[in-house]
Amino acid sequence: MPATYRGTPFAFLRDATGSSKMQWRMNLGAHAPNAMAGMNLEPHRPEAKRGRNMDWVVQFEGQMLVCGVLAKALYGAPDREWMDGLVAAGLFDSVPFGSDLPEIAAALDCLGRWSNSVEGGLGDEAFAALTDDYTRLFVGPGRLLAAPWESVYANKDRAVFQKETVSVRNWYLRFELGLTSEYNEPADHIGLEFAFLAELAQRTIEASDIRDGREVKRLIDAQRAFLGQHLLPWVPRWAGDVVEHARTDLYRGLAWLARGTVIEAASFFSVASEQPVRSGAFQRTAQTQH
Amino acid sequence: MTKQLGFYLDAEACNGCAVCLVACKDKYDNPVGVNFRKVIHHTMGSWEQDAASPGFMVPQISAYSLSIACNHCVTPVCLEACPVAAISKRDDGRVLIDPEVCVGCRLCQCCPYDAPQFNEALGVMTMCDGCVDLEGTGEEQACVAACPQRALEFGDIEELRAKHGDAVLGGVEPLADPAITQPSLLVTPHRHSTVLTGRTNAVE
Amino acid sequence: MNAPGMPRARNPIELWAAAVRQAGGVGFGLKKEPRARQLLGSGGGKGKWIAADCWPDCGSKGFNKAYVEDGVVVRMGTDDTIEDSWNKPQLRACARGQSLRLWLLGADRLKYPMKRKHWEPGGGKKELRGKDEWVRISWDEALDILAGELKRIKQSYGNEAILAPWVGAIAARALGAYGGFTDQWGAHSTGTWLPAHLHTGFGYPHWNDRFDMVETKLFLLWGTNPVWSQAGLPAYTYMQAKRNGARFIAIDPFYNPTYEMLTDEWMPIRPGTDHALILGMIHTLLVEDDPAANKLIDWDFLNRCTVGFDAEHLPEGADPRDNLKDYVLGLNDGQPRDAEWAAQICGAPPERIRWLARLLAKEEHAAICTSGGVARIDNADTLPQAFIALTAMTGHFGKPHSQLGVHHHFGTNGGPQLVQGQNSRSYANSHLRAPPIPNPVCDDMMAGGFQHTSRKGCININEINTAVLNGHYTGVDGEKVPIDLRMIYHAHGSRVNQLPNTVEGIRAHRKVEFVVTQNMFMNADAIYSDLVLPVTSRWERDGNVCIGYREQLLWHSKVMEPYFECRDDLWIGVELAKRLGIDPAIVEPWSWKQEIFNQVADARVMNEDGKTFEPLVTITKDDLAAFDVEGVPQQGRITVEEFREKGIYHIPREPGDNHGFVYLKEFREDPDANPLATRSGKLEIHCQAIADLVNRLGWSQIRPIPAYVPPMEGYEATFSDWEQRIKGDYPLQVYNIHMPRRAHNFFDNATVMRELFPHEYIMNPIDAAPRGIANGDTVLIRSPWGKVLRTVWVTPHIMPGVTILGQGSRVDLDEETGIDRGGCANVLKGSKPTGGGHIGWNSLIVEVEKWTGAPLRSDVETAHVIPLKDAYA
Repeated sequence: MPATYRGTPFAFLRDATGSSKMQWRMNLGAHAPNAMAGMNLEPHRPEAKRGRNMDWVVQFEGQMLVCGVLAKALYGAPDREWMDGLVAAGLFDSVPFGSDLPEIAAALDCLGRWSNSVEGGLGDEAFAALTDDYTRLFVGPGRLLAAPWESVYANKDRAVFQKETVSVRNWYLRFELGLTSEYNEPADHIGLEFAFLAELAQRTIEASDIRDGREVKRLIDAQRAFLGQHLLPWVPRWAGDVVEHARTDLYRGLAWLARGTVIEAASFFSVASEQPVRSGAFQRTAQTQH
Repeated sequence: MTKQLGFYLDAEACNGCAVCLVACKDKYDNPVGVNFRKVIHHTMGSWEQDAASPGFMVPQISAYSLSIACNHCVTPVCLEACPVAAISKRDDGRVLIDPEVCVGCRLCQCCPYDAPQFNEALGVMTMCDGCVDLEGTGEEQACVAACPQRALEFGDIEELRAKHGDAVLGGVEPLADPAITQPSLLVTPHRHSTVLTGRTNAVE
Repeated sequence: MNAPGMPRARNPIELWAAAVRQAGGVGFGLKKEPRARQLLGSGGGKGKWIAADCWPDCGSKGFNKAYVEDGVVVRMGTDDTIEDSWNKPQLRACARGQSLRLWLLGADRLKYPMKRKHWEPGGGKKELRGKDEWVRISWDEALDILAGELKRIKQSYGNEAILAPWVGAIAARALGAYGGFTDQWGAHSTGTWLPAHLHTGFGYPHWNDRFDMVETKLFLLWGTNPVWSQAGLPAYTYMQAKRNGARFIAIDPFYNPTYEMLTDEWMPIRPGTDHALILGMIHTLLVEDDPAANKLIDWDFLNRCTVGFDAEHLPEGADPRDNLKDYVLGLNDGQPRDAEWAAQICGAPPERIRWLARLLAKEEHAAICTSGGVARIDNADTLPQAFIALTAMTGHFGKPHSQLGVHHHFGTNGGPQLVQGQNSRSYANSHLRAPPIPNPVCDDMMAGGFQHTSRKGCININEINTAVLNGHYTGVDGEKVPIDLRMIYHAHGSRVNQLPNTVEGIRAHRKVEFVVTQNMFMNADAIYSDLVLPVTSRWERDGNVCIGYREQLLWHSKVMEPYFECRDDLWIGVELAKRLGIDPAIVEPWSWKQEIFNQVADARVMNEDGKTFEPLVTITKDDLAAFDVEGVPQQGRITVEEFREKGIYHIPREPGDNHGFVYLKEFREDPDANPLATRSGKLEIHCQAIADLVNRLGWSQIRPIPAYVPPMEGYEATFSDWEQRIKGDYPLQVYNIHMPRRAHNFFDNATVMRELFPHEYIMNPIDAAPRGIANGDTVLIRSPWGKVLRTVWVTPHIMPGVTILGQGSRVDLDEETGIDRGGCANVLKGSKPTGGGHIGWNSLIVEVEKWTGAPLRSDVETAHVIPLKDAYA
């Protein structure tokens, strides 16, 4: 895997994944106009079974948990006690999401190496290294090496508080979510976007447990749209910047994990990218195969 | 065509300050590298020995600026070049690129005024549309409203021509020969501009 | 990896679930929020326009507004509050103003308080300032450090040890109340004009009204470029004059866009040689004048209204030799200052000099419009007197459509302020109704003022860094005053970058025990600090009030919430006060919101009669309640709500109204009845006050008349042997002008501005070709003080022998090579003071060579990168 991959998400998908990723894909609806014209657009669900559909639950559970961990790990300064717990429990031995993706393998590689290096507990020096890395990559002062806000990647002027920020806040509002922060910060922080994806996954499980089909559909549509509009266009590039500039295996590993998570989730929801490929040679909006 | 809209530029008043460029860029949120409006700064001349006072150098130079965007040409070469018919000419004379149809092949970059700009993030060509979204609102085009020299106007070319008797249609150096695309661009030339007439290459 | 002996029997789902539980749930950072309000702006016009301040220190003013959708700034706009006409023009913004949104919302703006990793009280590893890593800290910790250091340094070394150069009115309140601080004095922008405005009778402001000005027939645009420096209304005014048939002559080393617009008649002269040119012109007029047959000189005005022109009109007690006429004719020293003499220095052919003098003298309605730049020259102390003499003798003072105008800050529009309010466009003078806080360390001075003349307890701006390094500075009587500076506090401005000799400045910043910077961006001050405090911009505060030019008053509102953890300067001052045992009410007598409302309430507008004023706004009891402020109802011209909503008030004008103004008109008519505020009561071509001021300081000795003194690093200094005209080590001059991309440091890091206006070094092909330099090459520029890399624009726009490097670009010093990659002109400029202690920015000499190393990356790619090793990989 190249260390400084900066390609578009879809070029990468085509290159690296072929069709092997389509196992979990659910044909969930209306983003392929040619194919779907005139067809019944209700979500195609696997055979309804009594009790829980475990494949379904496992997929959403995996998304919920991995996104939840990413949220905590990326939004906010390193939490020493929490990280100590992860290491002690051997969290990074495996990942319950996207486990056959090369990004996930790379993530486990880095995270495993890091875990080994702090086996027995997170010492002062090791923790200081994390704080330093976090500061250089995400905080500053001066030029942030991997600014963790979507709007910075969405435009070359590297500005925050832009249109993307408004759109993301609206997404949270639709699901009655706001920011815990007291300060005026943008909603499109990568950690917050993962938190949102985790929330939606959790609610999908809850809604299907009580058989609320309408709510399930609303949540599925939301996850697809949010991934396509707000995570897929920039997280792979951000992850590339982190992998290039990070000094600790932890942050490198988290970057790979973030990228793999987004790709896995996007593939699962058959996300058609709103952001076309860059090369512009007789290509436009790339669609994943069905 | 019911009318032909276009720009008027008073190149005597234009000093190349580029507010027009920034106002447009800000309105459309265009990134680095994408500029619907451009400022061209044209310099001619050099220094020479002063005939009257040997040992002293004196300048023989002149310079001026032009601000141009899309000229909404009568015979636009971009439209002809586009293989997917993404470019069309409206009833009011505006030339527009449809981002839904455009495939980003960039053949329309044959434009002699560099009007179509490729937006990497969107993957399509984008261009000055004469602020078509402001039609009917009473608001002026972003560049027109911003110019501190009041050097820009936008409107029906015939009306602008009647208003600005000293203006020529498009062919001021270093712009292209207006016979190529017939730009809907009226310019009151700067005192140093050489002017090409529309129909021949005669220089005034 | 499983460690041996530790059972890891749980499956991944359980493990990750436990991790998430320990984090407090899946949605870390989010919380439930009932949907109490509408979705945020969708671009469908649900936002509103808010008058948005543009305050960077360019000296001019445009009106800007921001379109805001629920706290997000989407677009910029400009003045459309009135129908546009020459009588009452819209105050349109410039390119910089239009880029405010992208500048203020840049990802690289300071967000959190930061502490340098290897700092500790006393300084820690001081040598790492500028190269160290940073740690994010809380505001409490940051303010505790700042207060702690202030206390410790005050107790150990006294208040004088705290250097807070021009720290701004707000920060100065707390420091002043805490016993004071060492401040700076000296002219940055005005060069040697300010002492002249104070002592020669040629005051400030002094332009005629714009309706008068556009009838002027001949303009000498002398070393000025309002199109770039004071963009907007000044250029528009000149266009009106041009359309009225005015003729313009440009006198400048650079054929700039202002001249391109207005004239072909360009007389190039070298930087710092304006004084010589003027003397050559004066000489021409003296020898060619014949009051009967060829009247060139206005003897009547000279005799009645000035002192110093000839021996018969000198002030009491003056040395009879000290008169301008004898000096210029060569009677003092045998060297006439004629056109031939002047031509050798300034580079214009002698015949052109004579032609220019005759042209100016023969035109009844002529104006000389110049700038601070011509006087930002070493040893230029009496240059203003030379301009005054030239204008006086050609009959252009106190008459319609004639004038000497300096600094386009007034938009070419002089006269009493017709709409009166907060006069400063860029410095936020605070709490105007409260008594000022004195600074006990500095004598007789209001805290935070911008001092141009020497004061006890103040260090001249040229000596700020050497005072730190050498432990002494020059006192008011030229004596060496010892000082032990231990702390540097930066706020409001930019010193490391904007004072001469940047490399010296960096050394000074590595010497003291503690450096703190309070700013919006990681500017050079912040880079070399130990503690960095992120402050709000004017957009994030409760508004601001300021004048436009003569005829406009602006009221800007809050545009957005504070960016990340940024705090207001005032809040910082109050928190500091609490920790220092000072009553916070001294620092903040009332809230900023109240202050702004007070300023609005106090605003006055002149009536049509041209004499009386009335309040601008009407305020009712309901208004006071709605704004939640204290005050007294009053009657005015417009409602306070209308003023707030529009953000700008224009006074109606037309030619021939009662607001016209011709400077010195009454004085010219009857100087005895209308004496000027000078020792003689007249216009002082012979000005003892200025000579005393300069000679007392001891850096130079000057005569009271405008005798030419070659600048320390001017044209003459490019020669190792002036008589033989053999060039020395630094054969080229640098003209250090203002560039359109920025106002000093401001706007410089906005990528849109960097894309538009690359920061290039400008050379004439006649200088570039022999050095093997082609357009677009990277070049190394060397002065006696430092080295800078730039990409070059080779063009005939600049005079041979002269080059241009614009001011304000941020230093990026490669410490291994000592080369600055940021293009900071102050790396090249030395800090030795001359004359009255102004900064001679435009006297700078260099040599240039083609750079054989890697070419510079483009300005867009290097938008504010801090000098870490990796950043230049």
